[in-house]
Amino acid sequence: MTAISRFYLAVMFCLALLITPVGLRAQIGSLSNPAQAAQARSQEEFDAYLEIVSATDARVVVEKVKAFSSAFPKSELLGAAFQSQLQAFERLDDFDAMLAAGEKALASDPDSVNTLLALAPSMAARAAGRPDRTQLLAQAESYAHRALAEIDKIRVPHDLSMEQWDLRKRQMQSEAHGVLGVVALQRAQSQQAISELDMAISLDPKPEGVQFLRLGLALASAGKKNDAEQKFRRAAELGPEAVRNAATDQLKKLN
Amino acid sequence: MCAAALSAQSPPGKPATPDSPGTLIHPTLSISELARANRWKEVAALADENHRKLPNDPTALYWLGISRLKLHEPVGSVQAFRGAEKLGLDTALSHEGLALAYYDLNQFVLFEEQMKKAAALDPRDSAPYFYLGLYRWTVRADAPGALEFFDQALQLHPDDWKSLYQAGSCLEHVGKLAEARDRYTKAISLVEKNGDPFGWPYQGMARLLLDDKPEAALDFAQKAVRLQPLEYSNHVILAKVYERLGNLPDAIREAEAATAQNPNDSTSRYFLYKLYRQAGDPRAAQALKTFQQVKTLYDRD
Repeated sequence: MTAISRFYLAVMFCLALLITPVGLRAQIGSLSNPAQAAQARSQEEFDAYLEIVSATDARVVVEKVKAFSSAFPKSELLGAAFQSQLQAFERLDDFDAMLAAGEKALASDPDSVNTLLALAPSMAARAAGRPDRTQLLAQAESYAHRALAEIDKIRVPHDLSMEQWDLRKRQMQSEAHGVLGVVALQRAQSQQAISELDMAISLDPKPEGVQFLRLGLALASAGKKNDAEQKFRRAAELGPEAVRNAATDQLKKLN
Repeated sequence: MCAAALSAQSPPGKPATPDSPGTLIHPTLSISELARANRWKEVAALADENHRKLPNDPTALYWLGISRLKLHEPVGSVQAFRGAEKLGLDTALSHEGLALAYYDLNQFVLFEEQMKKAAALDPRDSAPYFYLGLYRWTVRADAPGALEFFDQALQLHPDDWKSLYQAGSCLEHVGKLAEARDRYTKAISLVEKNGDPFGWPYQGMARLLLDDKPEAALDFAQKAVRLQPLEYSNHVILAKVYERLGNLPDAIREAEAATAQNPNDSTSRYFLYKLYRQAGDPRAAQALKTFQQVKTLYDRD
């Protein structure tokens, strides 16, 4: 195995670390305009939808969404239902099914920042080693750009203060730039990766260890050893354990 | 209006807590007493227990639906009401409760359907018409449609000052100012008779009098603020009256109170900026910047 391929193996491992569960990401809060809310047309339709949102077991959610989409194929709530299914598949670590659910969610609601930012990071991080790697990276990149464009168009709900919105917005922008950085890193475009990952860290109100780890990898791949070392040390400080171990390994390799 | 606000706006004369779901046998006394005391967590716990003991009794599920609605758990509320409905409960109050829970979840098609069922089952009850009107007005911005519902509510309950105020507000919106004034006057008379802390018709009157009789508007605007000091729009109207009367310091104080209470309202932000500018206050520049930020974020089309 060459040094470069060893390096990229390490990169792939680090990219796959800590893919944030969708449910924990910044979500848009209450609707800015209730009049535009998706409407159930019958009580049975809404009962079935509530069964999805009330279910706690991911497998149950998956099955209930299947039943819902089959019984109510024209429901305005389909996009939200598939978003729940996407999250359930992510919890079940079923990447292909998650992608399929995400595509269906986007078919119902193409501009959903939540769905775009749920899919793009997973696509970017898991593309490595897959036969459809190139396509996944291109899609992740496209979704991240779409998310960035849509974030700027969001009409903010009145119950969210400007400060709260600013934090959420920065967090979402950070996620999108993080995806662009990971995509660039996988394409061995070090300079672009550095710029995007650096931007992701500067936008995130509370950057995590994994972001510094990825930036360290990008810097290392660009031959910027001292800067990379600094980022790996920061990643090791912030943790958690998996990131700390990966950062420590990278520090050893640098020296 | 946020969804939860609708259920908080029960029309006057209507108990917030029904004694029983229509024709059903009165539930246990303790549940009624707890409900009357607004002890909704305990109502929910007791209703849950009753439901487990008597799974085929729709009354327990009815109480579970009401208590969850009051506890701002609309999903659980809908599920409980639906359970009661499937067990045969079909009363005006159960449909009304279910409608309000749907409203909390922004399910307006189902909300209207259930409120209309409630109205059909109890043709003497004005509340469903009030709620339907409030929905038409606050969510759909459909003043003529809302007015029809408020008028229906008023036919059934002429002393319903909340419907009178809302009808006045719709009439004002469609330019029927004399009729609006009549509704506000009647609402004020009823509010004063009952001593209800309901400042809206005073605000309406102040708005109507603002341009031609600002001195008269002042009394109404001040009364509105006294009755509902936490309602930002009362401070906006009072600020406008003070401005009209040439009293800039008080106008600024009230506009500042309005923006403090509702920082994301671009209209009051702009008004505050205008007042600062008129007064030569150096804070005008920052106020303009904040207004532009608020407008961009919250009023985007």
